Amino acid sequence: MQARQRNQKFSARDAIFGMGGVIVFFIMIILMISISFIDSVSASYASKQMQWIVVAFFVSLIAMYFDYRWLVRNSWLLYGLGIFLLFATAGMGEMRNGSRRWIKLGPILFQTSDFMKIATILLLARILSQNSNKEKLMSLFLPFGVVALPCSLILLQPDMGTSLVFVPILFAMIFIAGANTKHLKTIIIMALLLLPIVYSYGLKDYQQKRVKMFLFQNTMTQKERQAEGYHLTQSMIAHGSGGFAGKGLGEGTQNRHGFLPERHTDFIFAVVGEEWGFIGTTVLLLLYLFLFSAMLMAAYSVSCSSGQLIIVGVVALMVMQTLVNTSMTVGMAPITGLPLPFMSYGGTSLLFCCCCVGIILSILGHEGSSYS
Amino acid sequence: MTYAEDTFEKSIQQKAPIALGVLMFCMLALIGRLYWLQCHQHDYYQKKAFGQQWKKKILPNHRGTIKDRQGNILAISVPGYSCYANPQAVENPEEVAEQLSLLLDKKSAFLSSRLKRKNRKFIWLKRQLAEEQYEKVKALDIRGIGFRKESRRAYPGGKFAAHVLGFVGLENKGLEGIEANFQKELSGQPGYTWQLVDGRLARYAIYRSEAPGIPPVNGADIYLTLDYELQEIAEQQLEKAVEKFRPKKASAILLSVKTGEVLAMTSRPNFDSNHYQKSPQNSWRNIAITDSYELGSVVKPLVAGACMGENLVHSKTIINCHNGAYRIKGRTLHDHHRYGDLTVAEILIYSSNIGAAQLGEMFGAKKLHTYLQHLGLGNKSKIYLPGESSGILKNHKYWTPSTMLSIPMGHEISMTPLQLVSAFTTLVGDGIYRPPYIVRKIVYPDGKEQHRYLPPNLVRIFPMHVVKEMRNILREVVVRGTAKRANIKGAFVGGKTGTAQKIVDGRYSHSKHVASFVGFAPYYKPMYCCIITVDEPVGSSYGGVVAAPYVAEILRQAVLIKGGRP
Repeated sequence: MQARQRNQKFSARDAIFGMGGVIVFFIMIILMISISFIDSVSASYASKQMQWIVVAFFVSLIAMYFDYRWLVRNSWLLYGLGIFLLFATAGMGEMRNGSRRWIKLGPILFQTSDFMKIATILLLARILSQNSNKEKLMSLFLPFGVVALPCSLILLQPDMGTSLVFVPILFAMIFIAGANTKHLKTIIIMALLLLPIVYSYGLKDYQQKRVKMFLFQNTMTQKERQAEGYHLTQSMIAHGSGGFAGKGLGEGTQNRHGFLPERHTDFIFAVVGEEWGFIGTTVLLLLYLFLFSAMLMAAYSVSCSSGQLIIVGVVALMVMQTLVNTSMTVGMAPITGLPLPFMSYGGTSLLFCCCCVGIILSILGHEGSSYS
Repeated sequence: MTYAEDTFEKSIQQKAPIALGVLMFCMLALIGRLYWLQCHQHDYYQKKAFGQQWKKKILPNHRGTIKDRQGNILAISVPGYSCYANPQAVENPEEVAEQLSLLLDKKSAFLSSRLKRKNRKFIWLKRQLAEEQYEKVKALDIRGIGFRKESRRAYPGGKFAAHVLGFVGLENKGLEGIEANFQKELSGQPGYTWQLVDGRLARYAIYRSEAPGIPPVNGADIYLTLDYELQEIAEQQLEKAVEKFRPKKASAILLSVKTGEVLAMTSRPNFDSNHYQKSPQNSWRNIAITDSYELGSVVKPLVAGACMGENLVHSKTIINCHNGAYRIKGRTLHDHHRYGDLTVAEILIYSSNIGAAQLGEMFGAKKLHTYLQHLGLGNKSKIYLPGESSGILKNHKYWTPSTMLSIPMGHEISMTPLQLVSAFTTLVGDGIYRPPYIVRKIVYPDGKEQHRYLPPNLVRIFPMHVVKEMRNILREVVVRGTAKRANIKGAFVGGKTGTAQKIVDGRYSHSKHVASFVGFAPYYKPMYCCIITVDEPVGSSYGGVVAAPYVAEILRQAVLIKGGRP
């Protein structure tokens, strides 16, 4: 069997049928839901997002046929490019809402941290799959360093949410790669001890405020909540007033009358909560659960260690984004600018997610082939 | 590669379920939170959503008009404008304040301090502009300065009947007079609808049909018993008296004898209802009903009438007046002149204190008290004006022996001018007491009319023969008694003077007096009854001098104009 597959460079059947097909199926359902809710917020956004979906489809197709092992081999290069882009962003990036996260490429805004996420995952996969003695604590320094650099650069943009996403990616990947659990525990405890220092020196005022708001939301007065927690208050009202069955698609008053801010991007989950209620939010969360499970199953079936690690990294990334985004709309996490994968409006975010999915499919498709 | 791939596979086989477990735990926590938020707390958030999305929009209504008995307008709401600023939009506060201070009649420091409140989007600069102020400010067309429709209360007569009408403060609230007492009826009920609002709140927009609210109900129109012409006459005559005698306070009331309707009522000092703030607060008092006095001799005819009604005396009964000094029950009473024997009629004509006191003595305390009570003394007349005083009529149980002597002289009993004049209409009208009233009818916007409620048990107090005799006696007072100055041509006035010493520091003062005169005309068939009370007149203290001529003039003109038919 191996001999037969060795002759093939890429098998679309391996990529699309099996787990790959399940992944694509769930993504398509989520994308359909996404389009209906973006349409509920604004019809013009929905048609723009449709165009992005078409573009993203082709991008993921290209990523699928592209041999991921080339990416792994050249991951240092990609990582270096990513770091360069981050510096470039800091220097000449577009300023939006008080932070520099984007580079203008013609008509579109490109969020450089998205590219950095993929590059870091690829590099980590390479390092961890080659690493010989993972039982030693010292062997963890390189992966940590690789994450720490982009993490701090992004934190300075400032973009707390995105930089935080790197942490679970790192942990998930070294955990799966077989690091000593004792070491991981030590590291987590040390990190927790370092948190207050990062909080007071690494975060900007508005970020500190958000964290404070999240931690002390139950002790704040109505007035403070109104002044500082407008986003959160409106999002909670949207969820809560939606009730069990919701107000119906396009009938949400929080959404339609502009009470809910950022409702087509970061807070689209609150719109789901308002218009489809508890049923809708639960169904959507279950869809995500199925999607991530399918991705993990795919990782299960892959024999190549770097491929496995890449999939785990992508899952960790998406899980983190999903959990942080949805939790923040119900007041369980501080408010950050993390979009909900496949749901939030936004071209680069969608492109990036589909690109990741394309890489997963490429891993599945190249399973039988050898890389020369 | 030193690492065998199967090691790796083993690793993921062991650890993927753990990762999945962590993920499922997180998802469950999230769903639990969502359940709490969306199902358990649903009502709370539903209410919050409604609270911020639906705003009450007030639909203004029209305040009712106050009219006199003929339908002349005394108080009316006219559309007006109030000026506000949006400090965030004003570019140059200092300059704008300078510009507006003259036009709006406000200090420029005041205006600029308001215009500088950059955290506000709305702040009043001046409420209820005059017509030309509005035109001028509007012509300037300054950015950030706007107007809001707000109706303004206008009193075409200005000071005319100001005490009766009262005035309206901001937010359409009646503060004095009829405006205050009938606030509920006049103001009606502003309506409201619920409006769906925009999230930005700065811009109100209606997305769907408004939720049902309550339509506005206009205020009722109130028709007073006042007569425009008679009120004018009363105002003029009282003004004349005030100019001549410079009193602290004064008041005049004209009643219709037949019905008890108040045809005119005015007080001094007075104020302009349109600009009530510019007058001191004590000028807002309606002296005719808020101040009670010991009015003195004017009470004598009431006691005499009661005696005659009880057949204790008749008008020709002779009573010894002890030559001007009479010692009784430990005190000595005095008269102005030394009178010997006087008939009851003459006691009134010459206003003998000693004679009157002896009339009072004939009465039992309880009976006299009942008489006075039935005449409305010691109780509010319920004329539907705020601040009415009830006067003081002690319960007969607490009367001392000397009270019986004092009351016929008008001491130890205090009353408002209104109480006295309505008691007098009983004496000279038909002997039946009718409470005075000032509101004829209330006409609601739906066409319903509410007429004055008439008390069902009207009690005859004086028999008719006493009434007829009393008219003649009181006419004699004017013809040859203490009120000769009221005897003017064509008026046929009858009446009684009163000159009372005021109580200062618990004693009867010799320098401060309350002069009054109650008159009626024509004496043979009275139509009008009028009282003028002058508090602390300067120059003369006699009711016959200070009040009588003006009462006579009011009555003369009233009869002349109305032909005796109000």
